[in-house]
Amino acid sequence: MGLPILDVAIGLSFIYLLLSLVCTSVNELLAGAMNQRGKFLKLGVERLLSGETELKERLYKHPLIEGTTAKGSSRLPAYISSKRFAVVLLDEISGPDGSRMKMDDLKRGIEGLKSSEFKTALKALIPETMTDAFQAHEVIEEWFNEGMDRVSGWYKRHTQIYVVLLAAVVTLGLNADSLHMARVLWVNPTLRAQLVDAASVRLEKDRPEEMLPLVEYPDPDDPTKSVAVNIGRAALSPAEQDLLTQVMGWDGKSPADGPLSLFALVLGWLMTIAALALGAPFWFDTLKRFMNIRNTGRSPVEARDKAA
Amino acid sequence: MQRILALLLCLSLCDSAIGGIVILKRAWVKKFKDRATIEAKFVIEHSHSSPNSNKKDGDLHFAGQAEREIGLPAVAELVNARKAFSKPAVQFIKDSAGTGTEVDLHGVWRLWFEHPAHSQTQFATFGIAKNTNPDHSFEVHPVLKVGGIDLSESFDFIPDFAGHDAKKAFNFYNSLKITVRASATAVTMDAKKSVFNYTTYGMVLTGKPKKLVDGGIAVFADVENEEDEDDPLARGIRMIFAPGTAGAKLITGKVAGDKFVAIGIPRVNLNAIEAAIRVSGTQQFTSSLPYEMIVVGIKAAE
Repeated sequence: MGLPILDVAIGLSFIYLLLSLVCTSVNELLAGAMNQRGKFLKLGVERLLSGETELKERLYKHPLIEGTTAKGSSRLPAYISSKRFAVVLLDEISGPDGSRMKMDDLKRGIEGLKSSEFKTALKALIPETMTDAFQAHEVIEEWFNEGMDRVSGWYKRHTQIYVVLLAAVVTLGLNADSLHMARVLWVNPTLRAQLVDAASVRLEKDRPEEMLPLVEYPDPDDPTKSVAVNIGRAALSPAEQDLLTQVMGWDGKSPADGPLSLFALVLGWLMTIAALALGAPFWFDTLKRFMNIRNTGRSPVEARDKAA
Repeated sequence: MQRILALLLCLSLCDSAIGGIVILKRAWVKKFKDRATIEAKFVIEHSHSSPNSNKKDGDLHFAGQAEREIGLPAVAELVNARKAFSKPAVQFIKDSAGTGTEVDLHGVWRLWFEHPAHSQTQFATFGIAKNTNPDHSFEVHPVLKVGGIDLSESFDFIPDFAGHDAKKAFNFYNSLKITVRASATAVTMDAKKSVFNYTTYGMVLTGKPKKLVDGGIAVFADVENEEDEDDPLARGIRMIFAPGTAGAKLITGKVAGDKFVAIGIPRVNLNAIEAAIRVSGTQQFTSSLPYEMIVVGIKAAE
């Protein structure tokens, strides 16, 4: 057995890792269900078109864009290739009687735009001196790609906010009070030891967010015989779920019986939310460090036992 | 409490991804998962007027379709197209482009999300390519034979062309993910745009080479890490050799531990995809993108 304080730290890190895994998975599910990527893409397109609302609507109704989603679906496309965007935008700008491959039609269309801001932007991209419609397509593609890089940044930041909100929901939903959990671990050496063992098992798995392989090839001399692995794997094993229920949860009684304990409860929740916001990879690495310290500091007898 | 946890855990089985989507027929995946190459009657719609400079990669690109064998917008690439032995093939390709006639094409099939369209369904109807680089995720690259002209000699290192740095390229390949969903007849693959075409790398065999159905060869190898020999850049990657090439001859009979330097291009490992969808049923899953390397040129390590 290691130092009790170190084992408590390992236990808490392990709990944070498991809860973070749950938060990450739910967050990805919600992002998909709520079509967040599609919404962010639309927001990015809106920014690029700076106020050309009608043009934006026409872009999204263009068969080349609308056709990328399932028929009858109200979902926004989550991805538009830069080539497709350039074709559709220039097609719309050149108008139904013009051609996106004729510079005169494009320039006339740009002059007819309502938003002066967007008109200025397009004139900078497609100056009067430009005579090649292919070049016009290329600069629009490049401009779209740069805009989409910004959208990726917004999306990542937005996702981080969601993770914090989810951390709060999971913490309150499971009554994951860090102070209470630390106390339970401190006074219960058996549970502490179980958590440390389970943490060792977890550390043998891949680091969170590192994608897992689909298959394994059991015979190194036969590259055609593969066995599927990691399909439909639950984020937490039944043993891990069981351990979580032993250190947190609602038991029907009020978790606080006075102002001081209420303060401690809220503080414990906030500590958990802050911990979960750091993400599963952080807690995986932290857990690994604690385990390394524990293994380094093991007594010679214990080390020999473990090795045997 | 346990109900909440169970609900959250059920939700955690789902995932999503964005990027180019390719929908292949399951029967096609099963047929080609362990073949290096594909043979097709190919209609060349557009061709480069001349090969890329060797400094770029020395390839000649031509776009077209093979509606019966491939069923997707495709681009074929002839490697070492500037070399003298490639001249008849280059001329043949240029002469055939835009004529609408079917030509015999044999080469390494390559599914890779380098120029993805939003969605392409195999054996649907596609318009004619507008240039040599339409939105596509399917290539015949490198070409082994076109119009009966043998190009197996072109499977070699490219003069004056170094290829991408192994560390950067393999770190990128290892970071890719793919979302897969299968039905009874089709498999949908969704992945982000992928880059790093030609990569030069050291490899150590970890098994014996095995002959594939079409005469090609597959062998497992670790990709060497120059900075730390105990920590390969990638482990147990399937290395694919086209039949009849110098590389296929060189690798035959070699054993685990033999070391080589190679230049190769990645493609989706359909053997892994097919094994996974047999287990997943219709459940969607996301995982690291299983890839394998098409070995274009190879020599024994010094």
